[in-house]
Amino acid sequence: MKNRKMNLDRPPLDQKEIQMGMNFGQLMVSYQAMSKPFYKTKWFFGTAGMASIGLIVGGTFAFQSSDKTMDSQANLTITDSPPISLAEHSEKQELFALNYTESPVFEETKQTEFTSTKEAKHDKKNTPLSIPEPLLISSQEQVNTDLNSKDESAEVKNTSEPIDLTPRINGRANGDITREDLLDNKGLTTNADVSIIHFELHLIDGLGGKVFEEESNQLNKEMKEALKNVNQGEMIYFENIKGKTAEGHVVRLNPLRYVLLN
Amino acid sequence: MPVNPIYHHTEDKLMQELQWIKRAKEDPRSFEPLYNKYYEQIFRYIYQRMDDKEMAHDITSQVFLKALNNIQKYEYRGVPFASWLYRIAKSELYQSFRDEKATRTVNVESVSLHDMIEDMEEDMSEEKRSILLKAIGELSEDEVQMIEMRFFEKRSFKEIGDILEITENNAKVKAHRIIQKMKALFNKIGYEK
Repeated sequence: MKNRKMNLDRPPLDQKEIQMGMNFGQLMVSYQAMSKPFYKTKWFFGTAGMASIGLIVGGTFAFQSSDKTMDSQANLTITDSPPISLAEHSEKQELFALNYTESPVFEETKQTEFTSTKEAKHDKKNTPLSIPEPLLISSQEQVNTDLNSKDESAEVKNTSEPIDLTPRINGRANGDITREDLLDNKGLTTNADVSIIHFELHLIDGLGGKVFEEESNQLNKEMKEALKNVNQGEMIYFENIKGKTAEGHVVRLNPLRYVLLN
Repeated sequence: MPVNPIYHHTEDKLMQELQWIKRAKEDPRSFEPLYNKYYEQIFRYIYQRMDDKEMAHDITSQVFLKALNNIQKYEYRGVPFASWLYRIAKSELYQSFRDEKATRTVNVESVSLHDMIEDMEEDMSEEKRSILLKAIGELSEDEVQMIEMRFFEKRSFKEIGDILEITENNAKVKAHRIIQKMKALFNKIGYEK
């Protein structure tokens, strides 16, 4: 930098003149104007960074805890549900099991039944809960059916209907009966594929009761003789009726109660 | 040669200055004592190297503004705060020369020239004074800075070393070499005349 000016004996500056140029207030104004915006400062980055980390960690924990809460709420929902909805729930589950006979579903259905029964007991204090018995029976029957044959899923609906095992005499199950119908040659029969193999006839006279046993479905001579002494309007009881299924299982059937019409 | 009394502090004054700096780091308004103490020094340093008084004030303000903005970066190294301000001033000053806001000016006093001629072991005369001015004009910028600080501003070698970021001995050696160079130039210009 040779392009310089040379001054010889320039008049010296007065100290007051120099101090006139001092203005700390103006310097502060310039400083405020030039100072970095808050988002460029180190403390902001530090604080923002810490806050971000806090949010991420907090958010993660919040999500985890909310999942747990949702799980617990789900449990509570099941536990504290009104009995009606529980019954509906179990009913739905059972119906589901009736329509699908794959083994995993079967297991789930069994589990559901257990839970429902347990919860029904648990809820007894508040509201009595009754699970429809026929439905459970039919479900269990279905379970048995599933155990025996897994390939009969298409016929599940038909077989799930209750089998009528009520014994009959000349097509009559209980109620009024004429002497002719009573002595019908067909004897005791059922609509199902079950043959009666044993029954007892209970008659009540003035001296007490008389019981006649027969190892077939036909009234024997003794029974027919005893029935001759039964008057009109008297009750005739058939008890301890046993039948045999096509598979050879012996089943106990419902008793019969008739009123003699003539 | 007398030394700059403001620059050469006692240990107590250095510690007090350090306290001001710490406070200024926490609160910029606490920078005021430092501003009041060093404004004149820095202004004189700048005005010594230019011919525009207003521009010198502007540049001085810029120096303090820059210092305040960067006060957090300041590290105490056992030297007065002024040496840091001088380095900022030098930077700002040469920036203004590059931007052509100001013209580089060498302000020489007759008394100072007399001291120089004595150092060069020459006799003082009007002719020799003009030859000396021509010789200064032939020096490089770094050499002129050394001459200014040593002979015109009467700074000690330690202070020169702190401002130029060199050691005291290095400052002495450089000053001696420049005097030798000026002597050679002085003789050369005098012979040509």
